[in-house]
Amino acid sequence: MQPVINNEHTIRRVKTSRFSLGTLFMYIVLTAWSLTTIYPLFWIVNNSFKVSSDVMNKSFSLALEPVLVNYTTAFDRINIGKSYINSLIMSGGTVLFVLLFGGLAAYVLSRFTFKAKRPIYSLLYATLLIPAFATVVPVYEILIKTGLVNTYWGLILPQTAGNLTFATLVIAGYMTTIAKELEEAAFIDGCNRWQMFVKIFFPVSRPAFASVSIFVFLWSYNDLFSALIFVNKESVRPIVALLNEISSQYGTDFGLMATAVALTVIPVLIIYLFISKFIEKGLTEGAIKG
Amino acid sequence: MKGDRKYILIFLFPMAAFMSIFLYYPFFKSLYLSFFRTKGFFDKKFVGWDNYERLTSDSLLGASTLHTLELMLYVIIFQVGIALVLAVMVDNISKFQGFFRTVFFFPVVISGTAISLLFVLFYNYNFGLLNSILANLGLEKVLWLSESNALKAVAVPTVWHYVGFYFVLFLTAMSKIPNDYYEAAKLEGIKGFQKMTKLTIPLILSDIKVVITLAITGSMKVFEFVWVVSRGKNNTEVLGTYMYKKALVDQNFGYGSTIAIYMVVLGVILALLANRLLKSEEITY
Amino acid sequence: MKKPSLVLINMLLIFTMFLAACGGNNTAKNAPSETPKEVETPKTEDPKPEEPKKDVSLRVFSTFGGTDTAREAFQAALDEFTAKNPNVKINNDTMSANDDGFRTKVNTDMNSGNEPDLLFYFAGIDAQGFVDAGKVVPMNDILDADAEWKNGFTPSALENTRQADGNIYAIPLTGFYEGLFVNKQLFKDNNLELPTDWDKMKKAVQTFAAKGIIPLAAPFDQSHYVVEHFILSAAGPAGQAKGLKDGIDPNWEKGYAAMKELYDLGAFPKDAATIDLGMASNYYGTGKAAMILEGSWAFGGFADAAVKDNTTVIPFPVVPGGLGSGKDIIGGFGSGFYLTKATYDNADKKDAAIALMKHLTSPATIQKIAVANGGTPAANVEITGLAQAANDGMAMAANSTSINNPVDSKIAPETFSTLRAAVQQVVTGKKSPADALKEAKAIEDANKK
Repeated sequence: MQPVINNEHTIRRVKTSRFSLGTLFMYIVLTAWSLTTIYPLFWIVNNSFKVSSDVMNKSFSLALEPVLVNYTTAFDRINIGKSYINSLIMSGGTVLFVLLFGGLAAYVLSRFTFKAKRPIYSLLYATLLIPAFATVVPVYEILIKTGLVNTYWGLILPQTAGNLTFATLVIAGYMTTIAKELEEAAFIDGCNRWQMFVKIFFPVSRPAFASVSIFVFLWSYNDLFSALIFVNKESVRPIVALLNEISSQYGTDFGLMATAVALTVIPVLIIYLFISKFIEKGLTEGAIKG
Repeated sequence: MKGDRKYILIFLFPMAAFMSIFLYYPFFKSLYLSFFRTKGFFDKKFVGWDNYERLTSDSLLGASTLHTLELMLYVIIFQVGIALVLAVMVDNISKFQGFFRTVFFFPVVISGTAISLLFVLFYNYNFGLLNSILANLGLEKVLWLSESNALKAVAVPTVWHYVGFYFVLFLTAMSKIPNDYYEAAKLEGIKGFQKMTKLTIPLILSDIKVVITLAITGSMKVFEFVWVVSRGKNNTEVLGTYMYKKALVDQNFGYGSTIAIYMVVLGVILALLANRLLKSEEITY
Repeated sequence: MKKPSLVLINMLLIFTMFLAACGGNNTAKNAPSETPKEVETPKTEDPKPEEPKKDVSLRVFSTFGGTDTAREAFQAALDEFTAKNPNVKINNDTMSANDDGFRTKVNTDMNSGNEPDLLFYFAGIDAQGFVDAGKVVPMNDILDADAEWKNGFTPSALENTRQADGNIYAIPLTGFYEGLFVNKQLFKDNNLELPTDWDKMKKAVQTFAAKGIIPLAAPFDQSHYVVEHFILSAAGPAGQAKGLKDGIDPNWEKGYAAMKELYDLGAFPKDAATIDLGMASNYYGTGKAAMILEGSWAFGGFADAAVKDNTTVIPFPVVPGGLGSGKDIIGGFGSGFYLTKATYDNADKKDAAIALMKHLTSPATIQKIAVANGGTPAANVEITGLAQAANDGMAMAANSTSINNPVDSKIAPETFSTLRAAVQQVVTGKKSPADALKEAKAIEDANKK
C-alpha cells in the first residue's frame, strides 16, 4: 500500500504546481519548433510582395515597400475563383473516393483473417514505391482513349488510385486496435459486415479518416505534374497550375512563385483547421466507451 | 464470421480495380519497357536483360543507393523521432494544443520546391543567409554544400519538411488511447518519459509500423530537395533523381524503368524487413 | 478502351449510391452522398463538312506561356488572326519547356491520337520520333505553293530546321545564338582586355579570381553551354559536327583540358557543383561574376540594369591547340511550328490551320516575336529597339564565320548528360579528359544499338 499513497502525493503536487519543470521544458521545445514552422510561411508571404530579383538576393529582409505586381499577374494569368472551385471539386472528389474505398479495404485488412492478407500487405508496400514518372505515360494514354483528358474525372481517377494505398495502410493501422468486444456486440445485434463498418468502424475511426482526408486532399491539390498533363485546360484547370506560370526557358519568376504558393496554401490551411477538430480526443472517446 | 469471403471480395474490389487500372497496368508497361532500349517515345528495340546487367555494373546507381539509404536513416531517426516526441508533448500539455497542432502542419502544406528555394538561399555560398551571418561575425565563409557536407545539408529540409505529417499521424493514433489507461497509469505513478515508453508507444505500435513503412517508402522517392538544393552533385545523387535523369532528361525510358523496378524491389525488401523487426502481438483496447 | 472506363464509372456511381442507401441515418451526413460532377466531355469533334466558313476550333500548343518574354506578342498574333477569321476559335495551350512534363506530354499526345493542330516544338533529334512516325506533315510543298510566304524567310533559317530525311517540318519563328557574355565595366575597372584570345582569358580569370570576383559563372550540373563552347572551340565546326558516331575526335580532349586549366586558375564559382543555371545567371546579373556562357534568351534574366547595359557578347576564344577560328558561334533555329498529320487530313481544319500557320510565321509576326525575345528572326526583317547588348549579340552572329548547331543535337541525350556529368570530374582531376570521352562514347554506342 505504501507506494500507492506516495504516488498520490506526487500527483497532487503535480496538480498544484501547475507548471512543473517538465511542462515548462515541453512548452519551450514546442515553441522553439513552432518558430521553425511558422517562419517559412512568413517567408513565403513576405516574398510574395517582392519582385523576382529581390527574392533571390534579399529574401530575408522585410518587404517594407510591398509590390503587388505578383498578385496582379497571378489574377491576370489564371481565373482564380474558377480554379479554386476546380481544385475543390477534383481534390474533394478524390478524398471521398479514397476514404470510401480505402476505408473498406482497411476494414477488411485489419479485422478479417484470411490467407491472402500478408501478400496483399506486401503488394501495398510495393505500390507505395511506384514512382509517378513510371506510370504517367500509360495513364495519360488511358485517359486519352477514354476521352477523360481535360475532365474532372481525368484527375480524380488516377489520383484516387495513387492515394488509396496510403489511406488503406493508415486507416488499417488505426482499426487494428479497436476492441473486439465492440465487434462482437454488433454481431449479436444482428449487424452484417457492411453495417458493422458503417455503424462502428467508421465512426470509431473518424480521427484516422480525418487525418487521411487532409493529406489526400493536400497531395491531390498540390500535384502539379498530373494537373499539367491530365487537365491542362482553362475550364478544368486547378489552382496549382498557377505554378506553371512562374517559369519558362527564360527563367523563373521567384516573386510570382511565392505568390502562387501563398495563394494555394491558404485554402488548405483553412480546411486543415476545420478537419483537425475531428482528430481531437474528445470525439472518439464517446464512441469507444459507448 | 459466416459469409466473410463475400465481403472480403466486395470490399477489396474497388481498390483492386482502381489500382490495377491506374497503377499496376502502367507499372507492368514499365516492366515491359525495361527489356527494351528506347529512343524517345516511338522507337524501341528488345535487348533482353541488358538493362538489368547495366544495373549491376552502374557505379552511379550504387552510389545513389547508398545516399538514399543514408537519407532514409536520417528520416527514420529524426523525422519519425522528432514527430513522435512532439506528438507526445502536445498530447501531454493542456494549453495551446490547437495552436501547436496547427503551426506544426505549416511546412507540410508548402510545396517542396518553395521550401527548397528557401534552403538554397540559406546555404548559398556567395550571399546565403548562413554565410551572411558568418560574415557579419567576421568569420570565414563556409561551403555548406561541399562534397562531405552536402548530403547532410540536403537531409535537413527533407527531414524537417514532413515532421508535421508524422506528427499528425501520431496524434491521430494517440487519440484512440482511452483516457482510463492514462488514469490507471497515473495511479500507478507512471508519468513523463516512462509513460511514453511504457504506455503510449506500445499502444500505438501498429501505427508506428505504418509510419515507419511510410518513412521508408517515402525516402526511397526523395526528389525535390536534392534536385533543387544540390542538383545531385557532391555525393547527393539519390535514386529518385537518378531515375528521373535517366528517364526524363536522357529520355532513356528503358533504363529508367529498370531503375524504377529496382527501387520498388529494394523498397519492399526494406519495408518487409522493418515490419519483421517491429513484429509484436496485436493488441486491442 | 472506351468500354472499361464507362463500366468503371458506372461502378463507382453504383457504389456511391449503395453507400448512401445502406448507410443508415446516423452516417448519412458523413457518407459521400454526392459524386463530383462530370463536365461535358470537351473536344469539339470534327464538325460536319458542309458550308465553307463554319466554325473551326484549333488547338495550338506552344511554349509561349509562363514567363516567356514573347508571351504577349504571341497572344496578340493569335488575336489578330481570330479578328480576321471570326469563324476560327483558337485554344492557346502552353506549357513551359522547362517543365518536367513538356516533352512527355507532347510525345504522348502525338502517340495517342491527342495531337494539337499546330505544335511549337524543337526541331532535330527531339522531333525525330514523331517525324519518323509520320505524325507531322512535311511542309516543302506547302511552302513551294506560296512563294510570298516562303520568300519571307531567310533561306538559312528554313534550311536549319530541315530534318535528317531532307524534309522541312518545323517552320521557324526566331532563332538563338550563344556566346560569352562579358561585363565590360568589370573588365575596364580591372584594366583588362576583353577575352578575345586564350591568354587574355587566362589573365582575366587570374585577375578576377584574385579580387574575389567570380570570373566565369558556370554550373557543373547544367553545364550545357560550357560543354558546347569548349568542344566547338577545341574541335572546330567540322570536328564537333561529327559527334561521337565514328569514334572520338582527339581534339575534344583539348576542350576538357582547357576547362581544367581555367578551373585551376579559379575560373568557376566555389559552389559551381551545386548551383543551377538560374543561380549562375543571378551571379552574373548582379555583378558578382564577370563572364557567363549563355544564349540570346538570357538578357531578360539579368537583375541589375547596369549589368545589362554593360554587357557585350563575344565568341568564346579558341582553347590551346583548338581548331576553332575564334569566330565560330553556336546558334540556329532550334524550334518551329509543326502541322500535324491528323489536322492536315481533316478537311475542315486543314485550310484554317495552314492559314494560321502562315499568319504566325509571317514576317510581321516574326518581327514582333523577335523584338520581344531578342532572338534572331527567321525572316528578313529589321529589329529595332533592342538593348545595346542584344545588338552586339546580333552583330556577333552576323560577323561569325560559322553558326553551328550545339553539339547536343549531334549526339544522344544520354551521351550529352554524360559529357556534362564529366565536367566536374575532369576539372577536379578525378577523371582524365580521355577517360571521360571514352565513357561518353560507350553510352553513345549503347544508344545507337
